Amino acid sequence: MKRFLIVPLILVLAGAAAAESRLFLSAGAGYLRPADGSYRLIYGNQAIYPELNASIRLVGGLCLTGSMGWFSKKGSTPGLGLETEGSQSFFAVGLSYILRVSPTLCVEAGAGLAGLSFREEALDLWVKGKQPGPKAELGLLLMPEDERVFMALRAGYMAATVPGAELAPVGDQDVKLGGLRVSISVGGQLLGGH
Amino acid sequence: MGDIFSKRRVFLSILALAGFAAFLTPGRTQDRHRPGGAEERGSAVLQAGPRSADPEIRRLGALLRRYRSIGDLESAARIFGQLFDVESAADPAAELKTAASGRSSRADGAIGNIKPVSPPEGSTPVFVSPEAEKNPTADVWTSRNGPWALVTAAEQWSGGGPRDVRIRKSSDRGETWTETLVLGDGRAWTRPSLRQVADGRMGLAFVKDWGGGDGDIHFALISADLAAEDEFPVALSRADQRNPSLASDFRAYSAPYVYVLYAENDGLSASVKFRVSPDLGASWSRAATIAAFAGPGADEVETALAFDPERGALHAAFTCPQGQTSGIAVAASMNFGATWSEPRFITPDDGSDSSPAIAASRGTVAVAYEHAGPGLAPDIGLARSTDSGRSWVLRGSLASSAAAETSPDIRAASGGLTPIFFASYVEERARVRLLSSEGAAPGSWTVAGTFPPRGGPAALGTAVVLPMPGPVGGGSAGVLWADTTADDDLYFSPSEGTLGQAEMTVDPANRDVPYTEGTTTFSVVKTGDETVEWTATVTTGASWLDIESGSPGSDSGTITAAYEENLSLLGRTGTIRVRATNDDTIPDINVTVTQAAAPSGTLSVTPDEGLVSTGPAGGPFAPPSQAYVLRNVGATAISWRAARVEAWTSLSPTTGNLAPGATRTVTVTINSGANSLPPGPYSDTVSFMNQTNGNGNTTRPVSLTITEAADSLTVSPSSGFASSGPAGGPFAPASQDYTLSNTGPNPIDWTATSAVTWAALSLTAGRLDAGETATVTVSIGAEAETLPIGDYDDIVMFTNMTNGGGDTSRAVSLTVTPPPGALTVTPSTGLSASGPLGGPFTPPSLTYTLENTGGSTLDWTATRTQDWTTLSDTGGALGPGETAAVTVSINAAADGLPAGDYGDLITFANASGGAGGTTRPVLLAVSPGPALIVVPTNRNVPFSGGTTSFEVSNTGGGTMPWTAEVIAGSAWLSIQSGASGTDGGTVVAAFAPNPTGSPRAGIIRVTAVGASGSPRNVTVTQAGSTFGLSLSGERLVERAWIIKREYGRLSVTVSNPGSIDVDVYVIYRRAGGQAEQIVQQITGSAVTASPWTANDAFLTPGTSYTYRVLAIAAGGAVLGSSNEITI
Repeated sequence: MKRFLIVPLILVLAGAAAAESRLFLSAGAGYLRPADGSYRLIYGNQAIYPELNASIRLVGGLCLTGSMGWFSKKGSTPGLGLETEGSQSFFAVGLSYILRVSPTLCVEAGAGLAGLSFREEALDLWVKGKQPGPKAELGLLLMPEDERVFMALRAGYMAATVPGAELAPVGDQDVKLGGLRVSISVGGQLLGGH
Repeated sequence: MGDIFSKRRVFLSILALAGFAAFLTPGRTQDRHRPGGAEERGSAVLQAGPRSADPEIRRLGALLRRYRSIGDLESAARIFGQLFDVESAADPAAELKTAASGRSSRADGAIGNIKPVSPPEGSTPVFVSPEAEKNPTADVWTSRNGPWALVTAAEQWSGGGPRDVRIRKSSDRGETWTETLVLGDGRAWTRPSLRQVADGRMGLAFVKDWGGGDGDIHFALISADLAAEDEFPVALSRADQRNPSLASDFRAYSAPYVYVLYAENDGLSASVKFRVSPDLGASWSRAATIAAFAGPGADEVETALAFDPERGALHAAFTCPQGQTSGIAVAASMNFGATWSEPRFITPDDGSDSSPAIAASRGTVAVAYEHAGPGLAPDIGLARSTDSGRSWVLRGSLASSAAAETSPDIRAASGGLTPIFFASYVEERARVRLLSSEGAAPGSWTVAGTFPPRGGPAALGTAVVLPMPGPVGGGSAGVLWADTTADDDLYFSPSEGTLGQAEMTVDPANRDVPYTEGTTTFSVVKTGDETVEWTATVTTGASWLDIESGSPGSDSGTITAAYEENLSLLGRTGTIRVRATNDDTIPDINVTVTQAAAPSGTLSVTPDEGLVSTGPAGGPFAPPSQAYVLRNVGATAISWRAARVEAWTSLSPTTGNLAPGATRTVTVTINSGANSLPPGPYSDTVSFMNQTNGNGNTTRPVSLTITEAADSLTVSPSSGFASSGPAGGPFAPASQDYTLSNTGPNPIDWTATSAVTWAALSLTAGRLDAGETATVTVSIGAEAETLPIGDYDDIVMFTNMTNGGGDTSRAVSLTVTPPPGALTVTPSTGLSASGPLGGPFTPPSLTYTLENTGGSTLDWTATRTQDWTTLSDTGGALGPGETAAVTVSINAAADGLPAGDYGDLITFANASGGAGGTTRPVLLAVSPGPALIVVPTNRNVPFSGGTTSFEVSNTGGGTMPWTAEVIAGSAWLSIQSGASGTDGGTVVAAFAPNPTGSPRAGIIRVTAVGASGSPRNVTVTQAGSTFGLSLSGERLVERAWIIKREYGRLSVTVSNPGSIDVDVYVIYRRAGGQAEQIVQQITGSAVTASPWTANDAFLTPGTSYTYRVLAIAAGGAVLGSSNEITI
């Protein structure tokens, strides 16, 4: 996991240093509606989780983006009422384009690849795994021209499917990871001029 | 006008001639000469007049005081005449003056209060007119137990000079002055002195000024309605009389005297004169000279006079020369002015003293006067005596500031134990100070008011003080003062509040009484308006002294004390305490009764009359005897002897001894020796002699008159007829026969009469020949049966109608007594008790009420015959209408009686012989003892809860109380009802469900003490309960998000109708060829419903599992086992 975080970060910082371009860092909260109905049956229809975003403006409005987030929830089995715990995390990289539409407001659109991991512990057993999947999102940034702080509102979708056969004998059904995602974050420009 | 002047000249000429003639007439002086007195005029200062050195005058004075005290007016008038000479012959000049002066008495004159004024604060106008009003005087008019009013008088000036005397009256404590009387005759009437002189009547002394230095003293009597009743001259002469002062002793005596003190100057010297009137001014004594001295004119000699009603003392104060100036001298008289003490100065010889005012009460005399030292403003001096003027404390002061204090006046409030004095004076002519004091001691005066309180007129003149009855009692005071700012107007200012309270006196302080028994009285006098309730109690001497009447009382009253005979050689004194019960401020008053000692043994014989008897020759003589009571009324024992002279008298007894107070009766009888005496008068003397000391020796005459024997009627027996019986009869004896005989030689006619209807005579008339007899039966008639209780008397007269010889009578007396006591016993029923062998028996007792329904006290008894009964009372006395209770009880002896019936008889007897004796039966039934039976002896009951019962019965006799209790199985068995009872009953037992599968038994014990078969135990046997288990199950899959596993679900159905306690449920599982293992244990208390489920997680897919369930009791016993299932 550390590897997944450190490597992109080094790449971004290296790119930013090379390009002497702007670096946008932001942190916020995300809302995710899980795509898997079984997950929603046990752990609920939604998950609130922390999210980190980083963007480096490459040229014009084109940026190299990266983001990560994770969440874990507890539930109970429907028949015996035994306690269960399930968690998901993701790390995504991609390209986005930021277009200033007013002195304070920008719009953003981007797409990339996300790596999603899962884990469940229930009925005296546990199971875990990971699966890659696509990711796309749209954003609205409140970013005044003469300010280094900004606020971003993003919505997107990312998903990956694990086949049931890979889960036997503890499971026998396909598992969907990810889902519809909305996040809001606050950040600042760390490098370069306005 | 010319005629008037002419008439005046003629009158003056006549007056001058008359005065000259009087001057030449010897013995015409108004001054009275008394033995021992010194009538000296003008030769020296304070030459005294009549003095009390003469014992005869003292005796007469004491007699006059006594007669006046006891109300013997006739004797008092006689003594007064011996003490005082009344002006017998009028002075010719006086007659002329009297003839020349017309009286004026008008209800309201032309000079009234017509001047509008604004009276200063706290004052009301009394005399206000455009002319001056001067020299005010005032007093309170009272009537016995009636309202009171203020009356004032003053000179009413006219034309710049004095003329009339105006009198005003206020009935509302001086708030308004509604009535006016003007006295005058056109001449100058001056110096009025107003005092109440009798109940409801005022007196006014004043000077009628004839001009030319000739003033006379006059007196006017004024009624309650402010009308002048009459006017009398007091002192008319050519001398100049001035400044009268008036006093009266009406508070001390019902027939009061009026006293006048005045100054006189005959041209050579001045003197202070005194006169007294015993008839409210109609006549006056000749003048007594209290003091005479050279010097001042009469107008300069001021006088003041006061009477102390409690001490009966007259006190005079007057100005007279003292050294080079004037001083104040006083004198006193204890005999209504007949003699006076030697005048003495009460002022120091260091200044000029004037304006004396004097007041006296209860022996305290106070004199206020104006004292002006050389070059100093005048002060108000005070001299005081507490022993009726015998000694004086001088140099006292009421006011001695640097300011000028003038016009003093002083008065004593009437009544009260402690004399209250009021004084007034004018300070700096700007205000009047009113002072009060108890006892008039110099340091005890307090300011009671200042008038006007906030200033007023700049020039005040004369002021006089006026004690008034207060709203409660005692008194307050007001001040009549003059405003001289324009002309002299007079205002009245009352003080606020009450300065005294109701008081009470008892008079006399001691009564001396003889040693014989009798009564004496004390007078209680209350002063003030408040009602005082009081009681009189004998505090010492109660063994011989008692309050006979008068106590308790209220206000004034008379206490009558009765005292017994004092047969002691020592006198004794008893004390009566009079205490006010509704006023703590009034102190107790103790008065004494001093009884003289008895003499040594003294014989007293009563009655005083002798025996006077008459009868025909041969007798009988009537009365035949006389009884005399001899009594020793002395303090020592005596022996006595009675003696006769004639043989036809007898004495019985003739000698004896008498202790102090003892009595003995001696009967003097005409004995049979008189029967042989011939007709004629006879006499004898019986002597009673005190042989010890002769005290009380006396005799009684005996007179016997024997008449000629004649045809005479004799009646025998000589005794009367006395009968008695209860109301309604019968009366015993019922009759009395009297035999009438003719002892003379000739026939006589006779009659027999009775004065009452309840006595009947068998014969009422007849004729008796010589020697013949007749019988008259006097009987108690039927009408006597209607007479009420009491004593009745009758006289049956036997009359010799022929010649009266032998007329006689017989007394008939009938005593109707109350009816005898009659005994009534209730209830009329007897006592019927029953019970088992050994008891108890019910009812155990019965109470009878005994009542005396008769009219006399009766004695009663109650008796029984058996030992097993008890009577609460066996006898006593009952007055008429009284009741008593007697309780008949079955006692413990009855407990030992064998079964059977028993009887007793209670007898209530009227031991006084009256009616009402009766009996009451007592029945006692002793039955065999009780026997206890309880059925059934056992009850089988199901395992479930419920009730069961047992029947208890007494198959024996008597009463059987019983109780029931659980003695075994009380944890689940209890008595629901019927835990106790008597004889028959039902015991209801409640049992709880049996929580076990085993039967159980409880025991109930029924106990009836004393009953056969007791106690009895009965059982309750309860069946055991059932238990069942049924098992079913299925195999299920449990899924999480990703993970899924299989498990077993087991359903257990429990059948436990007896609620058997399950300790634990154990679930066993067997898989394949493995041994059975416990997979789950569930405590019984956790299972609350059926069926219940249990899960077995998790199962291995593809493996079968077999289950069963056991129910285990607390002791490890298996209550039930389920079927096996395989899933």
